[in-house]
Amino acid sequence: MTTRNHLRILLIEDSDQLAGSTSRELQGEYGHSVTWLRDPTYMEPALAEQRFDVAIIDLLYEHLNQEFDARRRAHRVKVRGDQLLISGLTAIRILRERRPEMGIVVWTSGEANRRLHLLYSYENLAMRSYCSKSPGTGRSDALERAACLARERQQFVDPVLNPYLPRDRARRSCDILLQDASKRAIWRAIAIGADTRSEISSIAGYSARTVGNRIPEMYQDLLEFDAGLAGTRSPFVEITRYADRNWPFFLDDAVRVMYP
Amino acid sequence: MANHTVQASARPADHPRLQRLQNDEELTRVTTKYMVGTLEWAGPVYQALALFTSAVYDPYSGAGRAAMLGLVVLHIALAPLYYRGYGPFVHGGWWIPAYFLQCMLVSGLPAWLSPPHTYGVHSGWIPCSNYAAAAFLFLAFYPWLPAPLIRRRVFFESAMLAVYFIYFLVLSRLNNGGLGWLNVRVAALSFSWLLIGYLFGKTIGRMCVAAAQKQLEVQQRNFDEFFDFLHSHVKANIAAVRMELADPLRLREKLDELEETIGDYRLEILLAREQVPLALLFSERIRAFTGVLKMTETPRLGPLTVARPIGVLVGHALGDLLKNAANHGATMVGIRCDTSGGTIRLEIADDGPGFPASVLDDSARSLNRLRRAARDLGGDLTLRPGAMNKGSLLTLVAPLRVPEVAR
Repeated sequence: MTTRNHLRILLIEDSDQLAGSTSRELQGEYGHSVTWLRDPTYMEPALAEQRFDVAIIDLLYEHLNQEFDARRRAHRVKVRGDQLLISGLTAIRILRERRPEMGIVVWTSGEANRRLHLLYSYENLAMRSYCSKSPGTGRSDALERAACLARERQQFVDPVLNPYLPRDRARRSCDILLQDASKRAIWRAIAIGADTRSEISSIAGYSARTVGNRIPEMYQDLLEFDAGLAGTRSPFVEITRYADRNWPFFLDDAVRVMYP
Repeated sequence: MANHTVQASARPADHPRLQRLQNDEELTRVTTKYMVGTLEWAGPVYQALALFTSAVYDPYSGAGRAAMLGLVVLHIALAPLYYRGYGPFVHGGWWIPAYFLQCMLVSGLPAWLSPPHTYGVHSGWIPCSNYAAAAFLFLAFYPWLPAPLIRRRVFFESAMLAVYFIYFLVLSRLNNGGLGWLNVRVAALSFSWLLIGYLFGKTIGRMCVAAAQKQLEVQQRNFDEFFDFLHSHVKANIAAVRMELADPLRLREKLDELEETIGDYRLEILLAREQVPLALLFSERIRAFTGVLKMTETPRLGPLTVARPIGVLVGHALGDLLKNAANHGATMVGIRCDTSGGTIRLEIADDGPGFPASVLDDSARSLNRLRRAARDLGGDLTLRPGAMNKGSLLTLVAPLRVPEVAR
């Protein structure tokens, strides 16, 4: 057992510089022990070997994103069967299942391509600890505090990341966008690179007629999801643009596990 | 000692951060497919006109004329569907051969619906024969062939045009029982319309390539600009930081300057988007003042985006109002944002000394400019004293969706 002041921390972060300096500070200043992994694919052996009190998890890993995107652009990704994009959501999902006693802190800068991941972590993975990578103090004090609070099952939301979280509303984001199996398949087909109805139909496994019928419905879902969307183009164009811009979310492996 | 499990280097050499700036086959295909979706509705409209002219002027029987007029109605009904993205070229795949089969059948229909010895004997037949011109127009610029065959597309397309010419001759022969010089001339005249459609299509194809090229040039300029920014601001600031390594206070100052420079540039990029994610905008602005102001309350905005003019207004409002609070000695700020009822209502409360509402009327002050910008978009900026008459409460109201005239 560790005391509150001496946590065993699992840090999953792809930036060498940031992980190195943060680890040193958490160790040197606060006396915690830190195990650093570059991405969640190395998590299983670490969990088998050691016990941790808290995991500090980045949301997206640049090298995994780059490699997956290269395969996606080369049309070498299949939405069924293949492993999709591994992100921090996968790490959170695995820890929630196998190490429910561990506290988890999402540690992110909060960028456009992480918006939907942040929403998903809050709504679907019951995350309540969020710490920004660029705190005003320039130190790891906020992260340390978030880790200690996470260990105590108390929430910590950095004001910089609070805007990304959802307001209380009747329907969760994924219930709006991904509840229907055919719509999920269409989102993923477009995210993978399909840009005509026949390509979407062939990848999604639904007839072109079904695809044609679903897209206006998906557009209405999208307007419910994001009320500020201007909606000046056809539903098909709006849906393809949205899926293409947010492909790291629609092709996230953890999202597919929960919404197959 | 921290336990580091280090794997491969940060970025594999074969996965560059930026894609090459090249107007290649892939980019042309993507651009063309996007453009065809915006044009395709014009195809059935043109075909309906061609069929109508034929129905009016060509010598059909009563039933034949009714059938032609029925086709006119059918084509007019197709136009809205094509406009909504249901056209064959948007579908791609087998829809394209199916579309050409339809064109051949409709082009051939007059030969069956007209009395014997009347098809292809006068130039009046041309309107219906040029029915397929729209199809050839789209075919000429649409990437219908797989990439390995793309260099031979002119050969394939010429063969298709030739097949069509022969088809006209066959129809003439079937209807007239023979083929005279007049039939050949009328077929050639009909064919010339297909050729015109095809050449127009080729021109549109060139326009697609030129449009993609222009986009690349804009992107190249943005990259150059960014390159300059990295050189003259980021690298220069890093050099300044190195020089101040011995003086922690000066070092901190230089680092703050560097962060502010990068933050401003990020904000500029963010506000260049068509739809601005509001959470990202708030996050950027709040980030710039953490450590300076204590944020007692920040709003939750989730996935909401706003059109660029609204994003610019909100971004300026947040920046100006937070800067004002910091400059006038406030230590705590609360930010609220409500987006219900089709409007965005932003409230910023601080514990500073406060200021009179008349500053909003002073045209030399940034708050006055902000109020004018808000009013231009159909909103407003108001000032009230804060709770218990301490500090100030500024409220910006704007429509959530930008009025069409402001776009």
